[in-house]
Amino acid sequence: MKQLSILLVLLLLVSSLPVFAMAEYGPFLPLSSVPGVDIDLSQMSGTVVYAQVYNILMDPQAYLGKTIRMSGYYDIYEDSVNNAVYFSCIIPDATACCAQGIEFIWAGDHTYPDDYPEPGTDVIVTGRLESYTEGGYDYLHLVDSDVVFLTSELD
Amino acid sequence: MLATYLTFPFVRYAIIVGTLIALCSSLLGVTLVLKRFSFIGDGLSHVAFGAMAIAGVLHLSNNMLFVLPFTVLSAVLLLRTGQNTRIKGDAAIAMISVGALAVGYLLLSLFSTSANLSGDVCSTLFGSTSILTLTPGEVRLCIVLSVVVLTVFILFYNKIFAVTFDETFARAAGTPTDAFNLLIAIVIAVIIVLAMNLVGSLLISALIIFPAMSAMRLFKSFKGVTICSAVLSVTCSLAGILISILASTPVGSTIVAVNIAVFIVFSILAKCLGGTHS
Repeated sequence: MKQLSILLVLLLLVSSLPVFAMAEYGPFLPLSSVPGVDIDLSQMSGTVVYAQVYNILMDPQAYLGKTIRMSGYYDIYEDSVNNAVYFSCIIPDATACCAQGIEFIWAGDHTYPDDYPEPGTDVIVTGRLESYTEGGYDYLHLVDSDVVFLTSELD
Repeated sequence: MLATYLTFPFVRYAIIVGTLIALCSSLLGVTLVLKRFSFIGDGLSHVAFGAMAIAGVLHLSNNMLFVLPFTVLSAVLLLRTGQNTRIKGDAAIAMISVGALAVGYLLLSLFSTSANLSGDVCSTLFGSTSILTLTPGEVRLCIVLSVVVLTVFILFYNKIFAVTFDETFARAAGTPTDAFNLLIAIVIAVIIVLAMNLVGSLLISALIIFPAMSAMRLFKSFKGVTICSAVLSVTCSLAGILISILASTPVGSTIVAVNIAVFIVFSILAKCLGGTHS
Protein backbone atom coordinates (compact mmCIF):
# COMPACT_ATOMS: atom_id res chain seq x y z
CA MET A 1 0.00 0.00 0.00
CA LYS A 2 2.75 2.45 1.02
CA GLN A 3 4.87 1.66 -2.05
CA LEU A 4 1.79 2.13 -4.24
CA SER A 5 1.04 5.47 -2.62
CA ILE A 6 4.62 6.70 -3.04
CA LEU A 7 4.46 5.59 -6.68
CA LEU A 8 1.25 7.61 -7.06
CA VAL A 9 2.89 10.74 -5.65
CA LEU A 10 5.91 10.30 -7.93
CA LEU A 11 3.55 9.81 -10.88
CA LEU A 12 1.77 13.06 -10.01
CA LEU A 13 5.09 14.86 -9.75
CA VAL A 14 6.37 13.50 -13.07
CA SER A 15 3.12 14.34 -14.86
CA SER A 16 3.43 17.91 -13.58
CA LEU A 17 7.06 18.31 -14.67
CA PRO A 18 6.25 20.21 -17.92
CA VAL A 19 5.01 23.07 -15.74
CA PHE A 20 8.49 23.49 -14.28
CA ALA A 21 9.90 24.10 -17.75
CA MET A 22 7.37 26.78 -18.67
CA ALA A 23 8.22 30.46 -18.71
CA GLU A 24 6.03 32.98 -16.90
CA TYR A 25 2.91 33.62 -19.00
CA GLY A 26 3.96 32.03 -22.28
CA PRO A 27 2.40 33.67 -25.30
CA PHE A 28 -0.74 31.75 -26.09
CA LEU A 29 -2.96 32.78 -28.95
CA PRO A 30 -6.29 30.96 -29.11
CA LEU A 31 -7.34 30.16 -32.65
CA SER A 32 -9.89 32.44 -34.22
CA SER A 33 -12.40 31.48 -36.90
CA VAL A 34 -13.03 35.14 -37.80
CA PRO A 35 -10.89 36.32 -40.75
CA GLY A 36 -8.38 39.01 -39.78
CA VAL A 37 -8.83 38.39 -36.06
CA ASP A 38 -5.96 36.79 -34.11
CA ILE A 39 -7.76 36.36 -30.78
CA ASP A 40 -11.54 36.03 -30.70
CA LEU A 41 -12.70 36.47 -27.11
CA SER A 42 -16.33 36.97 -28.08
CA GLN A 43 -16.98 33.25 -28.60
CA MET A 44 -15.56 32.09 -25.25
CA SER A 45 -17.32 31.52 -21.93
CA GLY A 46 -17.25 34.43 -19.48
CA THR A 47 -14.92 32.62 -17.08
CA VAL A 48 -12.34 31.89 -19.79
CA VAL A 49 -12.57 35.39 -21.27
CA TYR A 50 -11.89 36.96 -17.85
CA ALA A 51 -8.82 34.75 -17.38
CA GLN A 52 -7.59 35.41 -20.94
CA VAL A 53 -7.93 39.19 -20.54
CA TYR A 54 -6.06 38.93 -17.24
CA ASN A 55 -3.24 37.13 -19.07
CA ILE A 56 -3.18 39.77 -21.79
CA LEU A 57 -2.93 42.56 -19.20
CA MET A 58 -0.23 40.72 -17.21
CA ASP A 59 1.90 39.87 -20.24
CA PRO A 60 1.02 42.37 -22.98
CA GLN A 61 4.30 41.90 -24.89
CA ALA A 62 3.07 38.54 -26.20
CA TYR A 63 -0.12 40.11 -27.56
CA LEU A 64 0.98 43.54 -28.89
CA GLY A 65 0.11 44.02 -32.56
CA LYS A 66 -2.48 41.24 -32.49
CA THR A 67 -6.05 41.90 -33.57
CA ILE A 68 -8.43 41.14 -30.71
CA ARG A 69 -12.20 40.78 -30.86
CA MET A 70 -14.01 41.05 -27.54
CA SER A 71 -17.54 41.51 -26.29
CA GLY A 72 -18.52 43.10 -23.00
CA TYR A 73 -20.19 46.28 -21.87
CA TYR A 74 -19.14 49.76 -22.83
CA ASP A 75 -17.93 52.22 -20.19
CA ILE A 76 -16.21 55.59 -20.12
CA TYR A 77 -13.70 57.38 -17.92
CA GLU A 78 -13.72 61.17 -18.02
CA ASP A 79 -10.40 62.78 -17.03
CA SER A 80 -11.40 66.29 -16.01
CA VAL A 81 -7.77 67.36 -15.41
CA ASN A 82 -6.58 66.61 -18.93
CA ASN A 83 -10.04 67.12 -20.44
CA ALA A 84 -9.95 63.67 -22.03
CA VAL A 85 -12.46 60.84 -22.32
CA TYR A 86 -11.41 57.20 -22.44
CA PHE A 87 -13.70 54.45 -23.79
CA SER A 88 -13.39 50.82 -22.76
CA CYS A 89 -14.92 47.37 -23.18
CA ILE A 90 -15.43 45.85 -19.72
CA ILE A 91 -15.65 42.14 -18.90
CA PRO A 92 -16.95 41.15 -15.44
CA ASP A 93 -15.95 37.89 -13.76
CA ALA A 94 -18.40 35.15 -12.82
CA THR A 95 -18.92 36.50 -9.30
CA ALA A 96 -19.61 39.95 -10.80
CA CYS A 97 -17.45 41.57 -8.12
CA CYS A 98 -14.39 42.03 -10.33
CA ALA A 99 -14.15 43.43 -13.81
CA GLN A 100 -11.36 43.99 -16.31
CA GLY A 101 -11.41 46.00 -19.46
CA ILE A 102 -9.40 47.18 -22.41
CA GLU A 103 -9.56 50.74 -23.67
CA PHE A 104 -10.45 51.19 -27.34
CA ILE A 105 -10.22 53.92 -29.94
CA TRP A 106 -13.09 53.81 -32.43
CA ALA A 107 -11.89 54.07 -36.02
CA GLY A 108 -13.36 56.91 -38.09
CA ASP A 109 -14.89 60.23 -37.14
CA HIS A 110 -17.05 59.85 -34.06
CA THR A 111 -17.98 62.57 -31.64
CA TYR A 112 -18.55 62.09 -27.94
CA PRO A 113 -21.25 62.06 -26.64
CA ASP A 114 -23.38 62.29 -29.81
CA ASP A 115 -22.19 59.03 -31.43
CA TYR A 116 -21.86 57.02 -28.24
CA PRO A 117 -24.66 55.28 -26.31
CA GLU A 118 -25.17 55.21 -22.54
CA PRO A 119 -22.42 53.48 -20.52
CA GLY A 120 -23.40 49.88 -19.77
CA THR A 121 -24.47 49.16 -23.34
CA ASP A 122 -23.31 45.80 -24.68
CA VAL A 123 -20.53 46.19 -27.23
CA ILE A 124 -18.34 44.13 -29.55
CA VAL A 125 -14.92 45.67 -30.23
CA THR A 126 -12.39 44.47 -32.79
CA GLY A 127 -9.06 46.26 -32.77
CA ARG A 128 -5.27 45.99 -32.75
CA LEU A 129 -3.60 45.91 -29.32
CA GLU A 130 -1.05 48.67 -28.82
CA SER A 131 0.61 50.22 -25.78
CA TYR A 132 1.12 53.89 -24.96
CA THR A 133 2.68 55.88 -22.16
CA GLU A 134 0.89 58.69 -20.37
CA GLY A 135 1.89 60.44 -17.16
CA GLY A 136 4.79 58.02 -16.73
CA TYR A 137 2.57 54.93 -16.83
CA ASP A 138 2.17 52.34 -19.58
CA TYR A 139 -1.35 51.59 -20.80
CA LEU A 140 -2.91 49.27 -23.37
CA HIS A 141 -5.61 50.05 -25.89
CA LEU A 142 -7.20 48.66 -29.02
CA VAL A 143 -6.58 51.01 -31.95
CA ASP A 144 -8.38 51.26 -35.32
CA SER A 145 -11.27 49.55 -33.61
CA ASP A 146 -14.44 48.42 -35.28
CA VAL A 147 -17.12 49.02 -32.63
CA VAL A 148 -20.64 47.58 -32.65
CA PHE A 149 -23.02 48.73 -29.88
CA LEU A 150 -25.57 45.94 -29.60
CA THR A 151 -28.58 47.59 -27.98
CA SER A 152 -28.27 50.75 -30.06
CA GLU A 153 -28.58 48.54 -33.14
CA LEU A 154 -31.76 47.02 -31.74
CA ASP A 155 -33.15 50.43 -30.87
CA MET B 1 -15.64 23.67 -27.11
CA LEU B 2 -14.24 21.95 -24.01
CA ALA B 3 -11.37 20.53 -26.09
CA THR B 4 -10.49 24.07 -27.17
CA TYR B 5 -10.52 25.34 -23.59
CA LEU B 6 -8.24 22.48 -22.53
CA THR B 7 -5.53 23.83 -24.84
CA PHE B 8 -5.32 27.04 -22.78
CA PRO B 9 -2.32 26.96 -20.41
CA PHE B 10 -4.26 28.61 -17.58
CA VAL B 11 -7.00 25.97 -17.82
CA ARG B 12 -4.34 23.22 -17.59
CA TYR B 13 -2.77 24.96 -14.59
CA ALA B 14 -6.19 25.16 -12.93
CA ILE B 15 -6.79 21.44 -13.46
CA ILE B 16 -3.34 20.47 -12.10
CA VAL B 17 -3.61 22.72 -9.04
CA GLY B 18 -7.29 21.91 -8.47
CA THR B 19 -6.60 18.16 -8.52
CA LEU B 20 -3.65 18.42 -6.12
CA ILE B 21 -5.48 20.70 -3.66
CA ALA B 22 -8.57 18.49 -3.73
CA LEU B 23 -6.44 15.40 -3.09
CA CYS B 24 -4.55 16.97 -0.17
CA SER B 25 -7.60 18.53 1.46
CA SER B 26 -9.64 15.32 1.26
CA LEU B 27 -6.90 13.20 2.87
CA LEU B 28 -6.56 15.53 5.83
CA GLY B 29 -10.32 16.15 5.86
CA VAL B 30 -10.97 12.63 7.12
CA THR B 31 -8.64 13.20 10.06
CA LEU B 32 -10.14 16.60 10.87
CA VAL B 33 -13.74 15.38 10.73
CA LEU B 34 -12.95 12.40 12.96
CA LYS B 35 -11.05 14.58 15.46
CA ARG B 36 -14.03 17.01 15.59
CA PHE B 37 -11.80 19.71 14.11
CA SER B 38 -13.96 20.43 11.06
CA PHE B 39 -14.05 24.16 11.72
CA ILE B 40 -10.29 24.56 12.16
CA GLY B 41 -10.07 24.89 8.38
CA ASP B 42 -12.56 27.73 8.43
CA GLY B 43 -10.71 29.51 11.23
CA LEU B 44 -7.33 29.18 9.53
CA SER B 45 -8.70 30.33 6.18
CA HIS B 46 -9.85 33.55 7.82
CA VAL B 47 -6.40 33.92 9.38
CA ALA B 48 -4.94 33.49 5.90
CA PHE B 49 -7.28 36.25 4.68
CA GLY B 50 -5.98 38.53 7.44
CA ALA B 51 -2.39 37.65 6.54
CA MET B 52 -3.09 38.36 2.88
CA ALA B 53 -4.47 41.77 3.84
CA ILE B 54 -1.31 42.56 5.82
CA ALA B 55 0.86 41.38 2.90
CA GLY B 56 -1.17 43.61 0.58
CA VAL B 57 -0.79 46.63 2.85
CA LEU B 58 2.97 46.00 3.11
CA HIS B 59 3.12 45.75 -0.72
CA LEU B 60 4.92 42.40 -0.61
CA SER B 61 5.62 41.17 -4.11
CA ASN B 62 5.00 37.53 -3.15
CA ASN B 63 2.10 37.21 -0.69
CA MET B 64 2.73 33.49 -0.19
CA LEU B 65 6.06 34.11 1.61
CA PHE B 66 4.15 35.95 4.35
CA VAL B 67 0.75 34.22 4.32
CA LEU B 68 2.12 30.67 4.59
CA PRO B 69 4.34 31.10 7.70
CA PHE B 70 1.70 33.33 9.35
CA THR B 71 -1.02 30.71 8.87
CA VAL B 72 1.25 27.85 10.00
CA LEU B 73 2.11 29.82 13.16
CA SER B 74 -1.59 30.48 13.80
CA ALA B 75 -2.38 26.78 13.35
CA VAL B 76 0.25 25.86 15.93
CA LEU B 77 -0.96 28.55 18.37
CA LEU B 78 -4.58 27.51 17.83
CA LEU B 79 -3.77 23.95 18.70
CA ARG B 80 -1.73 24.97 21.75
CA THR B 81 -4.36 27.46 22.92
CA GLY B 82 -7.09 24.87 22.61
CA GLN B 83 -5.16 22.41 24.75
CA ASN B 84 -3.60 24.46 27.48
CA THR B 85 -5.70 27.49 28.33
CA ARG B 86 -9.16 28.35 29.57
CA ILE B 87 -10.27 29.32 26.05
CA LYS B 88 -11.11 25.92 24.61
CA GLY B 89 -11.32 24.48 21.05
CA ASP B 90 -14.39 25.90 19.32
CA ALA B 91 -14.31 29.26 21.15
CA ALA B 92 -10.64 29.80 20.26
CA ILE B 93 -11.30 28.96 16.62
CA ALA B 94 -14.34 31.28 16.49
CA MET B 95 -12.40 34.15 18.09
CA ILE B 96 -9.43 33.83 15.76
CA SER B 97 -11.69 33.32 12.76
CA VAL B 98 -13.83 36.44 13.07
CA GLY B 99 -10.97 38.45 14.58
CA ALA B 100 -8.67 37.83 11.61
CA LEU B 101 -11.49 38.50 9.14
CA ALA B 102 -12.38 41.81 10.77
CA VAL B 103 -8.77 42.99 11.17
CA GLY B 104 -7.97 41.96 7.60
CA TYR B 105 -10.87 43.94 6.16
CA LEU B 106 -10.12 46.90 8.43
CA LEU B 107 -6.47 47.00 7.27
CA LEU B 108 -7.51 46.76 3.63
CA SER B 109 -10.05 49.56 4.06
CA LEU B 110 -7.57 51.84 5.81
CA PHE B 111 -4.38 51.24 3.87
CA SER B 112 -5.15 49.54 0.56
CA THR B 113 -4.20 51.49 -2.55
CA SER B 114 -6.25 49.25 -4.82
CA ALA B 115 -8.85 50.91 -7.03
CA ASN B 116 -11.22 47.98 -6.52
CA LEU B 117 -11.23 47.13 -2.81
CA SER B 118 -14.58 45.32 -2.83
CA GLY B 119 -13.41 43.28 -5.82
CA ASP B 120 -10.17 42.29 -4.07
CA VAL B 121 -12.03 41.26 -0.92
CA CYS B 122 -14.69 39.36 -2.86
CA SER B 123 -12.02 37.60 -4.91
CA THR B 124 -10.13 36.52 -1.79
CA LEU B 125 -13.26 35.36 0.03
CA PHE B 126 -14.92 33.50 -2.84
CA GLY B 127 -11.99 32.60 -5.06
CA SER B 128 -13.52 34.21 -8.13
CA THR B 129 -11.37 33.14 -11.09
CA SER B 130 -8.08 33.18 -9.19
CA ILE B 131 -7.54 29.48 -9.99
CA LEU B 132 -7.58 30.46 -13.69
CA THR B 133 -5.11 33.30 -13.27
CA LEU B 134 -2.23 31.37 -11.69
CA THR B 135 1.31 31.97 -12.87
CA PRO B 136 3.58 28.99 -13.63
CA GLY B 137 5.58 30.00 -10.52
CA GLU B 138 2.49 29.63 -8.32
CA VAL B 139 1.69 26.30 -9.96
CA ARG B 140 5.23 25.04 -9.26
CA LEU B 141 4.96 26.09 -5.60
CA CYS B 142 1.60 24.35 -5.31
CA ILE B 143 3.00 21.14 -6.83
CA VAL B 144 5.97 21.11 -4.46
CA LEU B 145 3.85 21.80 -1.37
CA SER B 146 1.23 19.23 -2.42
CA VAL B 147 3.89 16.55 -2.88
CA VAL B 148 5.28 17.39 0.58
CA VAL B 149 1.79 17.12 2.12
CA LEU B 150 1.05 13.82 0.35
CA THR B 151 4.43 12.39 1.31
CA VAL B 152 3.94 13.33 4.97
CA PHE B 153 0.48 11.75 4.95
CA ILE B 154 1.73 8.51 3.37
CA LEU B 155 4.86 8.20 5.51
CA PHE B 156 2.99 8.84 8.77
CA TYR B 157 -0.30 7.22 7.78
CA ASN B 158 -0.26 4.72 10.69
CA LYS B 159 0.64 7.36 13.30
CA ILE B 160 -1.97 9.82 12.00
CA PHE B 161 -4.50 6.97 12.09
CA ALA B 162 -3.58 6.20 15.73
CA VAL B 163 -3.69 9.85 16.84
CA THR B 164 -6.98 10.39 15.04
CA PHE B 165 -8.88 7.48 16.56
CA ASP B 166 -7.56 7.21 20.12
CA GLU B 167 -5.06 9.86 21.13
CA THR B 168 -4.88 8.64 24.75
CA PHE B 169 -4.08 5.09 23.69
CA ALA B 170 -1.58 6.33 21.12
CA ARG B 171 0.19 8.39 23.81
CA ALA B 172 0.23 5.40 26.17
CA ALA B 173 1.71 3.30 23.36
CA GLY B 174 4.62 5.73 23.07
CA THR B 175 3.49 7.78 20.06
CA PRO B 176 4.55 11.44 20.40
CA THR B 177 0.97 12.70 20.00
CA ASP B 178 1.84 16.36 20.58
CA ALA B 179 4.38 16.23 17.77
CA PHE B 180 1.88 14.58 15.43
CA ASN B 181 -0.86 17.06 16.32
CA LEU B 182 1.64 19.80 15.50
CA LEU B 183 2.47 18.10 12.19
CA ILE B 184 -1.23 17.81 11.34
CA ALA B 185 -1.74 21.50 12.18
CA ILE B 186 1.15 22.56 9.93
CA VAL B 187 -0.08 20.41 7.05
CA ILE B 188 -3.61 21.79 7.45
CA ALA B 189 -2.28 25.35 7.32
CA VAL B 190 -0.36 24.59 4.10
CA ILE B 191 -3.49 23.10 2.52
CA ILE B 192 -5.61 26.08 3.57
CA VAL B 193 -3.21 28.55 1.96
CA LEU B 194 -3.12 26.47 -1.23
CA ALA B 195 -6.90 26.05 -1.32
CA MET B 196 -7.53 29.79 -1.08
CA ASN B 197 -6.65 29.96 -4.76
CA LEU B 198 -9.19 27.31 -5.65
CA VAL B 199 -12.34 28.19 -3.75
CA GLY B 200 -11.53 31.31 -1.71
CA SER B 201 -11.20 31.53 2.03
CA LEU B 202 -14.92 31.29 2.89
CA LEU B 203 -15.46 28.01 1.03
CA ILE B 204 -12.35 26.05 2.02
CA SER B 205 -14.14 24.14 4.78
CA ALA B 206 -16.39 22.57 2.15
CA LEU B 207 -13.36 20.99 0.41
CA ILE B 208 -12.24 19.52 3.72
CA ILE B 209 -15.60 18.37 5.11
CA PHE B 210 -17.84 17.29 2.21
CA PRO B 211 -15.69 14.54 0.59
CA ALA B 212 -15.00 12.97 4.00
CA MET B 213 -18.67 13.14 5.04
CA SER B 214 -19.83 11.71 1.69
CA ALA B 215 -17.34 8.83 1.95
CA MET B 216 -18.48 8.13 5.53
CA ARG B 217 -22.03 7.54 4.25
CA LEU B 218 -20.87 4.40 2.46
CA PHE B 219 -17.61 3.28 4.09
CA LYS B 220 -16.63 2.72 7.70
CA SER B 221 -12.92 1.77 7.67
CA PHE B 222 -10.32 4.56 7.85
CA LYS B 223 -8.63 3.32 4.67
CA GLY B 224 -11.94 2.96 2.80
CA VAL B 225 -13.13 6.42 3.82
CA THR B 226 -9.75 7.99 2.98
CA ILE B 227 -9.53 6.45 -0.51
CA CYS B 228 -13.20 7.18 -1.32
CA SER B 229 -12.83 10.73 0.00
CA ALA B 230 -9.76 11.34 -2.20
CA VAL B 231 -11.48 9.99 -5.32
CA LEU B 232 -14.66 12.01 -4.65
CA SER B 233 -12.76 15.20 -3.90
CA VAL B 234 -10.65 15.04 -7.08
CA THR B 235 -13.68 14.13 -9.21
CA CYS B 236 -15.86 16.92 -7.75
CA SER B 237 -13.07 19.45 -8.12
CA LEU B 238 -12.45 18.54 -11.77
CA ALA B 239 -16.18 18.52 -12.52
CA GLY B 240 -16.60 21.89 -10.78
CA ILE B 241 -13.76 23.51 -12.72
CA LEU B 242 -15.00 22.20 -16.08
CA ILE B 243 -18.64 23.15 -15.38
CA SER B 244 -17.63 26.65 -14.32
CA ILE B 245 -15.58 27.09 -17.48
CA LEU B 246 -18.40 25.90 -19.74
CA ALA B 247 -21.29 27.55 -17.89
CA SER B 248 -19.48 30.77 -16.83
CA THR B 249 -20.19 30.19 -13.16
CA PRO B 250 -17.88 31.06 -10.22
CA VAL B 251 -15.29 28.27 -9.85
CA GLY B 252 -15.29 27.94 -6.05
CA SER B 253 -19.02 27.83 -5.49
CA THR B 254 -19.50 25.46 -8.45
CA ILE B 255 -17.02 22.99 -6.91
CA VAL B 256 -18.82 23.22 -3.56
CA ALA B 257 -22.21 22.76 -5.26
CA VAL B 258 -20.94 19.56 -6.94
CA ASN B 259 -19.68 18.34 -3.54
CA ILE B 260 -23.12 19.01 -2.00
CA ALA B 261 -24.84 17.08 -4.82
CA VAL B 262 -22.49 14.11 -4.32
CA PHE B 263 -23.13 14.18 -0.58
CA ILE B 264 -26.90 14.02 -1.19
CA VAL B 265 -26.47 11.15 -3.68
CA PHE B 266 -24.23 9.21 -1.26
CA SER B 267 -26.68 9.79 1.60
CA ILE B 268 -29.53 8.37 -0.50
CA LEU B 269 -27.31 5.46 -1.61
CA ALA B 270 -26.42 4.70 2.01
CA LYS B 271 -30.11 4.60 2.93
CA CYS B 272 -30.91 2.34 -0.04
CA LEU B 273 -27.99 0.00 0.67
CA GLY B 274 -28.85 -0.10 4.35
CA GLY B 275 -25.70 1.27 5.95
CA THR B 276 -21.97 1.57 5.55
CA HIS B 277 -19.40 -0.89 4.23
CA SER B 278 -15.86 -1.62 5.27
